[in-house]
Amino acid sequence: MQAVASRAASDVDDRADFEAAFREVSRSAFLLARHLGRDTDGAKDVVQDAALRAWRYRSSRTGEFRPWFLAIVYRQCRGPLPESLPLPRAWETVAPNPIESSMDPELLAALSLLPRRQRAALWLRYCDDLTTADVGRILHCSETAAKQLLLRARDSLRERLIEQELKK
Amino acid sequence: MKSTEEVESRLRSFSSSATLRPADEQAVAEIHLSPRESSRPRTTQRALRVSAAAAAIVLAILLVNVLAAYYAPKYQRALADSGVGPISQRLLSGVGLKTGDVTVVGDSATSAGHTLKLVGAYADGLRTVLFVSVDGKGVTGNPKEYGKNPGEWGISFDLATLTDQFGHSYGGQGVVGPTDLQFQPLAWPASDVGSRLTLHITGIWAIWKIAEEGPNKAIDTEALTTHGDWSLHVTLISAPYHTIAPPAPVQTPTADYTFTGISASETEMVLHWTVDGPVNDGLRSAPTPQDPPSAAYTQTMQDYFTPRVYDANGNELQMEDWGYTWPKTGPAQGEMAVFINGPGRYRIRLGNALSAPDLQRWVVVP
Repeated sequence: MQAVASRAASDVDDRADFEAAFREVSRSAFLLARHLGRDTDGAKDVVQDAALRAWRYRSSRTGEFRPWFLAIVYRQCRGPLPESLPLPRAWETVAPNPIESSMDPELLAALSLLPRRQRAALWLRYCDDLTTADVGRILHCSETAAKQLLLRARDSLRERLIEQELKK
Repeated sequence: MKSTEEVESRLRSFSSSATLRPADEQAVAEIHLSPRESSRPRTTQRALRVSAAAAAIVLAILLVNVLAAYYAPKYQRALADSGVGPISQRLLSGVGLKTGDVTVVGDSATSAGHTLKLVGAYADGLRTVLFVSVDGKGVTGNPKEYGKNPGEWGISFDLATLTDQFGHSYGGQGVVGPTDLQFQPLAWPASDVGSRLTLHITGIWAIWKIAEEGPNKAIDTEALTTHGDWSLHVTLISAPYHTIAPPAPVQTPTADYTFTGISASETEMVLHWTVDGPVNDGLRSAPTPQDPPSAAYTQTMQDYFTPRVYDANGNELQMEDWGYTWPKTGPAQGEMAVFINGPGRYRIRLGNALSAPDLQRWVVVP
Protein backbone atom coordinates (compact mmCIF):
# COMPACT_ATOMS: atom_id res chain seq x y z
CA MET A 1 0.00 0.00 0.00
CA GLN A 2 2.81 2.33 0.92
CA ALA A 3 4.52 1.45 -2.35
CA VAL A 4 1.39 2.32 -4.31
CA ALA A 5 1.05 5.65 -2.52
CA SER A 6 4.69 6.41 -3.12
CA ARG A 7 4.38 5.62 -6.82
CA ALA A 8 1.28 7.79 -7.14
CA ALA A 9 3.12 10.71 -5.55
CA SER A 10 6.00 10.13 -7.89
CA ASP A 11 3.68 10.23 -10.88
CA VAL A 12 2.16 13.47 -9.67
CA ASP A 13 5.64 14.95 -9.52
CA ASP A 14 6.25 13.52 -12.97
CA ARG A 15 3.16 15.26 -14.27
CA ALA A 16 4.17 18.51 -12.60
CA ASP A 17 7.66 18.29 -14.07
CA PHE A 18 6.25 17.51 -17.47
CA GLU A 19 3.85 20.41 -17.26
CA ALA A 20 6.65 22.76 -16.27
CA ALA A 21 8.90 21.53 -19.07
CA PHE A 22 6.07 21.82 -21.55
CA ARG A 23 5.27 25.36 -20.44
CA GLU A 24 8.88 26.35 -21.07
CA VAL A 25 8.88 25.03 -24.60
CA SER A 26 5.29 25.63 -25.71
CA ARG A 27 5.96 29.14 -26.99
CA SER A 28 8.97 28.01 -28.99
CA ALA A 29 6.99 25.09 -30.34
CA PHE A 30 4.18 27.38 -31.41
CA LEU A 31 6.59 29.74 -33.15
CA LEU A 32 8.31 26.84 -34.89
CA ALA A 33 4.96 25.66 -36.24
CA ARG A 34 4.09 29.20 -37.33
CA HIS A 35 7.41 29.59 -39.14
CA LEU A 36 6.82 26.27 -40.85
CA GLY A 37 3.74 27.73 -42.50
CA ARG A 38 0.93 26.91 -40.08
CA ASP A 39 -1.58 29.65 -39.37
CA THR A 40 -2.48 30.58 -35.81
CA ASP A 41 -5.11 27.88 -35.35
CA GLY A 42 -3.03 25.31 -37.20
CA ALA A 43 0.02 25.95 -35.02
CA LYS A 44 -2.12 25.73 -31.93
CA ASP A 45 -3.51 22.37 -33.10
CA VAL A 46 -0.06 21.04 -33.88
CA VAL A 47 1.36 21.96 -30.48
CA GLN A 48 -1.77 20.72 -28.74
CA ASP A 49 -1.56 17.33 -30.44
CA ALA A 50 2.17 17.14 -29.83
CA ALA A 51 1.65 17.86 -26.13
CA LEU A 52 -0.86 15.08 -25.72
CA ARG A 53 1.26 12.61 -27.61
CA ALA A 54 4.36 13.62 -25.67
CA TRP A 55 2.58 13.15 -22.37
CA ARG A 56 1.22 9.74 -23.27
CA TYR A 57 4.56 8.51 -24.54
CA ARG A 58 6.91 10.49 -22.36
CA SER A 59 8.71 7.29 -21.38
CA SER A 60 10.08 7.00 -24.91
CA ARG A 61 11.94 10.29 -24.47
CA THR A 62 15.70 10.22 -24.59
CA GLY A 63 17.74 13.30 -23.78
CA GLU A 64 16.52 16.77 -23.01
CA PHE A 65 12.83 17.62 -23.12
CA ARG A 66 13.15 20.69 -25.34
CA PRO A 67 14.67 19.13 -28.50
CA TRP A 68 12.59 15.99 -28.01
CA PHE A 69 9.36 17.95 -27.94
CA LEU A 70 10.38 20.28 -30.78
CA ALA A 71 11.22 17.20 -32.86
CA ILE A 72 7.64 16.01 -32.38
CA VAL A 73 6.33 19.40 -33.46
CA TYR A 74 8.63 19.49 -36.50
CA ARG A 75 7.50 16.03 -37.49
CA GLN A 76 3.85 17.03 -37.18
CA CYS A 77 4.58 19.99 -39.47
CA ARG A 78 6.52 18.01 -42.07
CA GLY A 79 3.57 17.05 -44.19
CA PRO A 80 1.98 19.25 -46.80
CA LEU A 81 0.11 22.23 -45.47
CA PRO A 82 -3.47 21.32 -44.62
CA GLU A 83 -5.99 21.68 -47.40
CA SER A 84 -3.32 22.10 -50.05
CA LEU A 85 -1.45 19.86 -52.40
CA PRO A 86 2.30 19.46 -51.98
CA LEU A 87 4.16 22.41 -53.44
CA PRO A 88 7.80 22.93 -54.18
CA ARG A 89 9.45 24.20 -51.06
CA ALA A 90 10.21 27.52 -52.71
CA TRP A 91 6.48 28.04 -53.18
CA GLU A 92 5.23 27.26 -49.77
CA THR A 93 2.57 29.61 -48.71
CA VAL A 94 3.75 31.23 -45.54
CA ALA A 95 1.17 32.31 -43.03
CA PRO A 96 1.29 35.96 -41.96
CA ASN A 97 4.15 36.33 -39.57
CA PRO A 98 3.34 35.86 -35.90
CA ILE A 99 5.94 38.35 -34.74
CA GLU A 100 5.18 42.05 -34.49
CA SER A 101 6.40 43.51 -37.75
CA SER A 102 8.27 46.26 -35.96
CA MET A 103 10.95 43.68 -35.21
CA ASP A 104 13.20 43.54 -38.27
CA PRO A 105 10.49 42.98 -40.88
CA GLU A 106 13.08 42.65 -43.65
CA LEU A 107 14.67 39.69 -41.97
CA LEU A 108 11.30 38.09 -41.30
CA ALA A 109 10.31 38.53 -44.94
CA ALA A 110 13.59 37.02 -46.16
CA LEU A 111 13.32 34.17 -43.71
CA SER A 112 9.82 33.34 -44.87
CA LEU A 113 11.08 32.81 -48.44
CA LEU A 114 13.55 30.09 -47.51
CA PRO A 115 12.77 26.40 -47.92
CA ARG A 116 10.98 25.03 -44.89
CA ARG A 117 13.86 22.93 -43.63
CA GLN A 118 16.31 25.82 -43.83
CA ARG A 119 13.80 28.09 -42.13
CA ALA A 120 13.39 25.63 -39.27
CA ALA A 121 17.14 25.15 -38.88
CA LEU A 122 17.85 28.88 -38.66
CA TRP A 123 15.00 29.51 -36.27
CA LEU A 124 16.04 26.71 -33.93
CA ARG A 125 19.73 27.55 -33.96
CA TYR A 126 19.71 31.31 -33.71
CA CYS A 127 16.32 32.32 -32.38
CA ASP A 128 15.81 29.41 -30.03
CA ASP A 129 19.51 29.16 -29.24
CA LEU A 130 19.72 25.39 -29.59
CA THR A 131 22.97 23.59 -30.31
CA THR A 132 23.66 22.23 -33.79
CA ALA A 133 23.45 18.75 -32.29
CA ASP A 134 19.92 19.50 -31.08
CA VAL A 135 19.02 21.03 -34.43
CA GLY A 136 20.13 17.80 -36.08
CA ARG A 137 18.13 15.78 -33.62
CA ILE A 138 14.99 17.78 -34.28
CA LEU A 139 15.42 17.70 -38.06
CA HIS A 140 16.36 14.02 -37.93
CA CYS A 141 19.83 14.35 -39.39
CA SER A 142 23.41 14.15 -38.15
CA GLU A 143 25.12 17.09 -36.51
CA THR A 144 27.37 17.41 -39.56
CA ALA A 145 24.37 17.52 -41.86
CA ALA A 146 22.76 20.10 -39.57
CA LYS A 147 25.88 22.27 -39.81
CA GLN A 148 25.82 22.05 -43.60
CA LEU A 149 22.14 22.85 -43.64
CA LEU A 150 22.72 25.90 -41.44
CA LEU A 151 25.55 27.03 -43.67
CA ARG A 152 23.37 26.81 -46.78
CA ALA A 153 20.49 28.47 -44.97
CA ARG A 154 22.66 31.38 -43.83
CA ASP A 155 23.93 31.87 -47.36
CA SER A 156 20.45 31.73 -48.79
CA LEU A 157 19.17 34.20 -46.22
CA ARG A 158 22.06 36.52 -46.93
CA GLU A 159 21.30 36.40 -50.66
CA ARG A 160 17.65 37.16 -50.00
CA LEU A 161 18.59 40.17 -47.90
CA ILE A 162 20.94 41.44 -50.58
CA GLU A 163 18.20 41.04 -53.19
CA GLN A 164 15.88 43.03 -50.99
CA GLU A 165 18.41 45.83 -50.70
CA LEU A 166 18.95 45.92 -54.45
CA LYS A 167 15.21 46.22 -55.04
CA LYS A 168 15.01 49.32 -52.86
CA MET B 1 27.24 43.88 -48.67
CA LYS B 2 25.89 41.92 -45.74
CA SER B 3 28.28 39.61 -43.99
CA THR B 4 27.40 36.24 -42.58
CA GLU B 5 28.14 37.63 -39.12
CA GLU B 6 25.61 40.39 -39.64
CA VAL B 7 23.00 37.87 -40.73
CA GLU B 8 23.69 35.77 -37.66
CA SER B 9 23.50 38.80 -35.43
CA ARG B 10 20.18 39.87 -36.85
CA LEU B 11 18.82 36.35 -36.46
CA ARG B 12 19.88 36.27 -32.84
CA SER B 13 18.00 39.50 -32.25
CA PHE B 14 14.87 37.39 -32.64
CA SER B 15 14.29 35.31 -29.62
CA SER B 16 11.38 33.05 -28.94
CA SER B 17 10.29 35.66 -26.37
CA ALA B 18 9.71 38.24 -29.10
CA THR B 19 6.46 40.16 -28.98
CA LEU B 20 3.79 38.30 -30.89
CA ARG B 21 0.65 39.52 -32.54
CA PRO B 22 -2.31 39.39 -30.12
CA ALA B 23 -3.99 36.43 -31.83
CA ASP B 24 -0.80 34.40 -31.59
CA GLU B 25 -0.21 35.40 -27.97
CA GLN B 26 -3.72 34.23 -27.16
CA ALA B 27 -3.18 30.95 -29.01
CA VAL B 28 0.00 30.25 -27.04
CA ALA B 29 -1.82 30.93 -23.78
CA GLU B 30 -4.60 28.54 -24.70
CA ILE B 31 -2.36 25.56 -25.41
CA HIS B 32 -2.49 22.98 -22.66
CA LEU B 33 -1.91 19.30 -22.16
CA SER B 34 -5.51 18.13 -22.51
CA PRO B 35 -7.35 18.16 -25.83
CA ARG B 36 -9.75 21.02 -26.35
CA GLU B 37 -13.45 20.54 -26.74
CA SER B 38 -13.27 22.90 -29.68
CA SER B 39 -10.79 20.81 -31.63
CA ARG B 40 -11.70 20.95 -35.26
CA PRO B 41 -13.53 17.85 -36.45
CA ARG B 42 -11.51 15.66 -38.69
CA THR B 43 -12.75 13.61 -41.56
CA THR B 44 -13.59 10.07 -40.61
CA GLN B 45 -12.72 7.17 -42.82
CA ARG B 46 -14.60 3.92 -42.95
CA ALA B 47 -12.66 1.17 -41.25
CA LEU B 48 -11.88 -2.04 -43.00
CA ARG B 49 -14.00 -4.85 -41.80
CA VAL B 50 -13.41 -8.56 -41.95
CA SER B 51 -16.28 -10.92 -42.37
CA ALA B 52 -16.73 -13.63 -39.80
CA ALA B 53 -16.19 -16.25 -42.45
CA ALA B 54 -12.89 -14.78 -43.61
CA ALA B 55 -11.68 -14.45 -40.03
CA ALA B 56 -12.60 -18.05 -39.33
CA ILE B 57 -10.71 -19.24 -42.40
CA VAL B 58 -7.60 -17.30 -41.45
CA LEU B 59 -7.81 -18.58 -37.88
CA ALA B 60 -8.16 -22.15 -39.09
CA ILE B 61 -5.16 -21.83 -41.37
CA LEU B 62 -3.08 -20.35 -38.56
CA LEU B 63 -4.06 -23.14 -36.18
CA VAL B 64 -3.31 -25.89 -38.65
CA ASN B 65 0.06 -24.44 -39.47
CA VAL B 66 1.14 -23.27 -36.05
CA LEU B 67 4.00 -25.76 -35.67
CA ALA B 68 5.29 -25.18 -39.15
CA ALA B 69 5.08 -21.46 -38.59
CA TYR B 70 7.16 -21.69 -35.42
CA TYR B 71 10.01 -23.41 -37.20
CA ALA B 72 9.65 -21.55 -40.49
CA PRO B 73 9.05 -17.85 -39.85
CA LYS B 74 8.91 -17.02 -43.55
CA TYR B 75 6.13 -19.55 -44.01
CA GLN B 76 4.15 -17.86 -41.28
CA ARG B 77 4.83 -14.55 -42.99
CA ALA B 78 3.46 -15.92 -46.24
CA LEU B 79 0.30 -17.05 -44.47
CA ALA B 80 -0.04 -13.82 -42.61
CA ASP B 81 0.44 -11.60 -45.63
CA SER B 82 -3.02 -12.46 -46.83
CA GLY B 83 -3.84 -8.80 -46.40
CA VAL B 84 -6.85 -9.48 -44.19
CA GLY B 85 -6.70 -7.38 -41.07
CA PRO B 86 -9.10 -5.23 -39.09
CA ILE B 87 -6.77 -2.25 -38.91
CA SER B 88 -8.15 1.00 -40.21
CA GLN B 89 -6.51 2.34 -43.32
CA ARG B 90 -6.19 5.69 -41.62
CA LEU B 91 -4.20 4.19 -38.77
CA LEU B 92 -1.98 2.37 -41.25
CA SER B 93 -1.55 5.44 -43.44
CA GLY B 94 -0.34 7.39 -40.45
CA VAL B 95 2.73 5.19 -40.33
CA GLY B 96 3.09 4.82 -44.08
CA LEU B 97 1.70 1.30 -44.32
CA LYS B 98 -1.06 -0.46 -46.17
CA THR B 99 -3.10 -3.48 -45.16
CA GLY B 100 -1.00 -5.88 -47.19
CA ASP B 101 2.23 -4.71 -45.58
CA VAL B 102 1.18 -5.80 -42.14
CA THR B 103 1.55 -9.30 -40.83
CA VAL B 104 -1.79 -10.35 -39.37
CA VAL B 105 -1.11 -11.85 -35.97
CA GLY B 106 -4.20 -12.36 -33.86
CA ASP B 107 -2.42 -13.48 -30.68
CA SER B 108 -4.40 -12.43 -27.63
CA ALA B 109 -4.18 -12.61 -23.86
CA THR B 110 -6.68 -11.85 -21.12
CA SER B 111 -5.85 -10.51 -17.70
CA ALA B 112 -7.54 -8.22 -15.19
CA GLY B 113 -10.75 -8.49 -17.16
CA HIS B 114 -9.28 -7.06 -20.36
CA THR B 115 -8.27 -8.80 -23.56
CA LEU B 116 -5.30 -7.45 -25.48
CA LYS B 117 -4.78 -8.64 -29.02
CA LEU B 118 -1.72 -8.18 -31.15
CA VAL B 119 -3.62 -7.55 -34.35
CA GLY B 120 -0.77 -6.85 -36.75
CA ALA B 121 2.93 -6.17 -37.02
CA TYR B 122 5.45 -4.84 -39.50
CA ALA B 123 9.24 -4.65 -39.57
CA ASP B 124 11.83 -3.44 -42.02
CA GLY B 125 15.38 -2.19 -41.69
CA LEU B 126 14.14 1.07 -40.22
CA ARG B 127 11.49 0.19 -37.67
CA THR B 128 9.23 -2.35 -36.00
CA VAL B 129 5.55 -1.47 -35.71
CA LEU B 130 2.96 -3.36 -33.64
CA PHE B 131 -0.80 -2.81 -33.57
CA VAL B 132 -2.57 -3.86 -30.38
CA SER B 133 -6.30 -3.72 -29.68
CA VAL B 134 -7.73 -3.53 -26.16
CA ASP B 135 -11.07 -5.26 -25.71
CA GLY B 136 -11.47 -5.22 -29.47
CA LYS B 137 -10.97 -1.46 -29.80
CA GLY B 138 -8.19 0.86 -30.87
CA VAL B 139 -7.17 -0.27 -34.33
CA THR B 140 -10.33 0.50 -36.25
CA GLY B 141 -11.95 3.82 -37.05
CA ASN B 142 -10.35 7.22 -36.84
CA PRO B 143 -7.25 7.12 -34.64
CA LYS B 144 -7.57 10.85 -33.94
CA GLU B 145 -10.86 10.21 -32.20
CA TYR B 146 -9.69 7.22 -30.19
CA GLY B 147 -9.23 7.71 -26.46
CA LYS B 148 -11.98 10.22 -25.91
CA ASN B 149 -14.70 7.82 -24.85
CA PRO B 150 -14.97 5.56 -21.80
CA GLY B 151 -13.66 2.08 -22.46
CA GLU B 152 -10.98 3.24 -24.92
CA TRP B 153 -7.78 2.08 -23.29
CA GLY B 154 -4.22 2.78 -24.35
CA ILE B 155 -0.86 1.13 -23.82
CA SER B 156 2.08 3.08 -22.48
CA PHE B 157 5.69 2.32 -23.27
CA ASP B 158 6.21 2.52 -19.50
CA LEU B 159 4.37 -0.74 -19.21
CA ALA B 160 5.45 -2.56 -22.37
CA THR B 161 8.65 -4.35 -23.29
CA LEU B 162 9.57 -6.03 -26.57
CA THR B 163 12.16 -8.79 -26.71
CA ASP B 164 13.21 -11.32 -29.32
CA GLN B 165 14.13 -14.99 -28.98
CA PHE B 166 17.77 -14.03 -28.45
CA GLY B 167 16.95 -11.86 -25.47
CA HIS B 168 17.48 -8.57 -27.25
CA SER B 169 15.24 -5.80 -25.93
CA TYR B 170 13.95 -3.10 -28.26
CA GLY B 171 13.43 0.44 -27.13
CA GLY B 172 10.56 2.64 -28.13
CA GLN B 173 11.09 4.78 -31.19
CA GLY B 174 9.31 7.72 -32.66
CA VAL B 175 5.95 9.11 -31.74
CA VAL B 176 3.05 6.73 -31.98
CA GLY B 177 -0.51 6.37 -30.78
CA PRO B 178 -2.07 4.52 -27.87
CA THR B 179 -2.49 1.28 -29.82
CA ASP B 180 0.21 1.48 -32.51
CA LEU B 181 3.58 0.94 -30.90
CA GLN B 182 6.81 1.66 -32.74
CA PHE B 183 10.09 0.12 -31.65
CA GLN B 184 13.65 0.03 -32.93
CA PRO B 185 14.32 -2.14 -36.01
CA LEU B 186 15.06 -5.79 -35.52
CA ALA B 187 18.64 -6.45 -34.50
CA TRP B 188 20.96 -9.14 -35.77
CA PRO B 189 20.62 -12.12 -35.72
CA ALA B 190 16.82 -11.80 -35.50
CA SER B 191 16.88 -9.39 -38.43
CA ASP B 192 18.43 -12.09 -40.61
CA VAL B 193 16.93 -15.35 -39.43
CA GLY B 194 13.52 -14.08 -38.43
CA SER B 195 12.39 -13.03 -35.01
CA ARG B 196 10.04 -14.47 -32.47
CA LEU B 197 9.01 -11.41 -30.56
CA THR B 198 7.31 -11.20 -27.20
CA LEU B 199 5.42 -8.05 -26.29
CA HIS B 200 4.95 -8.05 -22.54
CA ILE B 201 2.48 -5.52 -21.18
CA THR B 202 1.82 -5.02 -17.49
CA GLY B 203 -0.70 -2.21 -17.53
CA ILE B 204 -3.16 -0.28 -19.65
CA TRP B 205 -4.32 3.30 -19.28
CA ALA B 206 -7.80 4.74 -19.11
CA ILE B 207 -6.71 7.44 -21.52
CA TRP B 208 -10.14 9.02 -21.85
CA LYS B 209 -9.75 10.19 -18.26
CA ILE B 210 -6.78 12.32 -19.25
CA ALA B 211 -9.06 14.31 -21.51
CA GLU B 212 -11.52 14.73 -18.66
CA GLU B 213 -8.90 16.50 -16.57
CA GLY B 214 -8.64 20.22 -17.00
CA PRO B 215 -5.43 21.98 -17.91
CA ASN B 216 -2.69 22.32 -15.33
CA LYS B 217 -4.14 19.57 -13.16
CA ALA B 218 -1.89 16.84 -11.90
CA ILE B 219 -3.00 13.40 -12.98
CA ASP B 220 -2.52 10.40 -10.76
CA THR B 221 -1.41 7.99 -13.45
CA GLU B 222 -1.58 5.08 -11.07
CA ALA B 223 -5.27 5.72 -10.60
CA LEU B 224 -5.70 5.56 -14.40
CA THR B 225 -3.81 2.30 -14.75
CA THR B 226 -5.20 -1.17 -14.65
CA HIS B 227 -2.42 -3.65 -14.03
CA GLY B 228 -2.34 -7.10 -15.52
CA ASP B 229 -0.03 -9.52 -17.25
CA TRP B 230 -0.37 -9.84 -20.99
CA SER B 231 2.20 -11.60 -23.18
CA LEU B 232 1.66 -11.38 -26.91
CA HIS B 233 3.75 -13.17 -29.49
CA VAL B 234 4.55 -12.69 -33.14
CA THR B 235 7.00 -14.23 -35.53
CA LEU B 236 8.21 -11.51 -37.82
CA ILE B 237 10.54 -11.25 -40.78
CA SER B 238 12.22 -7.93 -41.39
CA ALA B 239 11.43 -6.56 -44.82
CA PRO B 240 14.55 -5.85 -46.86
CA TYR B 241 15.89 -2.41 -47.63
CA HIS B 242 17.45 -2.01 -51.07
CA THR B 243 19.74 0.38 -52.82
CA ILE B 244 18.52 0.63 -56.38
CA ALA B 245 20.67 1.39 -59.40
CA PRO B 246 19.72 4.85 -60.67
CA PRO B 247 18.14 5.01 -64.11
CA ALA B 248 19.68 6.87 -67.03
CA PRO B 249 19.78 10.67 -66.91
CA VAL B 250 16.94 12.62 -68.50
CA GLN B 251 18.16 15.15 -71.00
CA THR B 252 16.17 17.88 -72.71
CA PRO B 253 17.33 21.01 -74.51
CA THR B 254 16.56 23.04 -71.41
CA ALA B 255 17.22 20.75 -68.45
CA ASP B 256 19.44 17.82 -67.51
CA TYR B 257 18.32 15.49 -64.75
CA THR B 258 20.69 13.06 -63.04
CA PHE B 259 19.53 10.52 -60.47
CA THR B 260 22.02 10.41 -57.63
CA GLY B 261 20.49 7.84 -55.30
CA ILE B 262 17.46 5.62 -54.90
CA SER B 263 16.64 3.32 -52.03
CA ALA B 264 13.49 1.50 -51.06
CA SER B 265 11.91 -0.75 -48.50
CA GLU B 266 8.67 -2.57 -49.22
CA THR B 267 6.65 0.45 -48.22
CA GLU B 268 8.64 3.50 -49.21
CA MET B 269 11.04 4.70 -51.86
CA VAL B 270 13.43 7.64 -51.45
CA LEU B 271 14.90 9.33 -54.52
CA HIS B 272 17.58 11.98 -54.94
CA TRP B 273 18.40 13.75 -58.18
CA THR B 274 19.89 16.94 -59.56
CA VAL B 275 18.65 19.40 -62.17
CA ASP B 276 20.99 21.49 -64.27
CA GLY B 277 20.86 23.43 -67.51
CA PRO B 278 19.17 26.58 -68.79
CA VAL B 279 15.99 26.07 -66.75
CA ASN B 280 17.95 25.95 -63.53
CA ASP B 281 20.10 28.92 -64.60
CA GLY B 282 16.95 30.85 -65.43
CA LEU B 283 15.45 30.18 -62.03
CA ARG B 284 18.63 31.30 -60.32
CA SER B 285 18.68 34.59 -62.18
CA ALA B 286 14.94 35.17 -61.81
CA PRO B 287 13.66 37.56 -59.15
CA THR B 288 12.72 36.05 -55.83
CA PRO B 289 9.31 34.39 -56.20
CA GLN B 290 6.59 36.41 -54.61
CA ASP B 291 3.43 35.18 -52.97
CA PRO B 292 1.64 34.25 -55.12
CA PRO B 293 4.43 33.49 -57.60
CA SER B 294 4.24 34.83 -61.14
CA ALA B 295 2.49 32.78 -63.81
CA ALA B 296 5.78 32.22 -65.66
CA TYR B 297 7.51 31.01 -62.51
CA THR B 298 4.60 28.72 -61.69
CA GLN B 299 4.64 27.28 -65.20
CA THR B 300 8.38 26.60 -65.03
CA MET B 301 8.07 24.87 -61.71
CA GLN B 302 5.21 22.71 -62.89
CA ASP B 303 6.95 21.85 -66.13
CA TYR B 304 10.39 21.03 -64.77
CA PHE B 305 10.36 20.78 -60.97
CA THR B 306 7.19 18.93 -60.01
CA PRO B 307 7.89 15.21 -59.72
CA ARG B 308 5.33 12.45 -59.68
CA VAL B 309 5.62 8.71 -59.30
CA TYR B 310 3.21 6.18 -60.74
CA ASP B 311 2.83 2.47 -60.30
CA ALA B 312 2.86 0.06 -63.25
CA ASN B 313 -0.88 0.57 -63.71
CA GLY B 314 -0.52 4.31 -64.02
CA ASN B 315 -1.85 5.17 -60.57
CA GLU B 316 -0.16 8.18 -59.01
CA LEU B 317 1.40 7.39 -55.63
CA GLN B 318 1.13 9.35 -52.41
CA MET B 319 4.15 11.46 -51.54
CA GLU B 320 5.36 11.59 -47.99
CA ASP B 321 7.56 14.59 -48.73
CA TRP B 322 9.40 16.18 -51.62
CA GLY B 323 11.18 19.35 -52.54
CA TYR B 324 14.24 21.06 -53.95
CA THR B 325 17.28 22.72 -52.49
CA TRP B 326 19.23 25.25 -54.47
CA PRO B 327 22.84 25.37 -53.30
CA LYS B 328 24.75 28.58 -53.78
CA THR B 329 26.15 27.22 -57.04
CA GLY B 330 25.56 24.19 -59.17
CA PRO B 331 22.50 22.14 -59.97
CA ALA B 332 19.28 22.06 -57.98
CA GLN B 333 19.01 19.07 -55.66
CA GLY B 334 15.71 17.23 -55.60
CA GLU B 335 14.52 14.75 -53.02
CA MET B 336 11.30 12.86 -52.55
CA ALA B 337 9.96 10.09 -50.39
CA VAL B 338 6.97 8.27 -51.75
CA PHE B 339 4.86 5.49 -50.30
CA ILE B 340 4.98 2.52 -52.65
CA ASN B 341 2.93 -0.62 -53.04
CA GLY B 342 5.80 -3.06 -52.57
CA PRO B 343 8.05 -4.65 -55.17
CA GLY B 344 7.32 -3.69 -58.73
CA ARG B 345 7.94 -1.21 -61.47
CA TYR B 346 7.48 2.47 -60.82
CA ARG B 347 7.46 5.30 -63.31
CA ILE B 348 9.06 8.61 -62.44
CA ARG B 349 8.04 11.84 -64.12
CA LEU B 350 10.09 14.79 -62.97
CA GLY B 351 7.88 17.51 -64.46
CA ASN B 352 4.79 18.11 -66.56
CA ALA B 353 6.94 18.94 -69.59
CA LEU B 354 8.61 15.58 -69.28
CA SER B 355 5.59 13.42 -70.02
CA ALA B 356 6.94 11.93 -73.25
CA PRO B 357 7.75 8.26 -72.71
CA ASP B 358 11.45 8.74 -73.48
CA LEU B 359 11.68 11.46 -70.81
CA GLN B 360 10.21 9.36 -68.03
CA ARG B 361 12.15 6.72 -66.17
CA TRP B 362 11.25 3.37 -64.70
CA VAL B 363 12.77 1.84 -61.60
CA VAL B 364 12.26 -1.68 -60.32
CA VAL B 365 11.92 -2.27 -56.62
CA PRO B 366 12.90 -5.90 -55.98
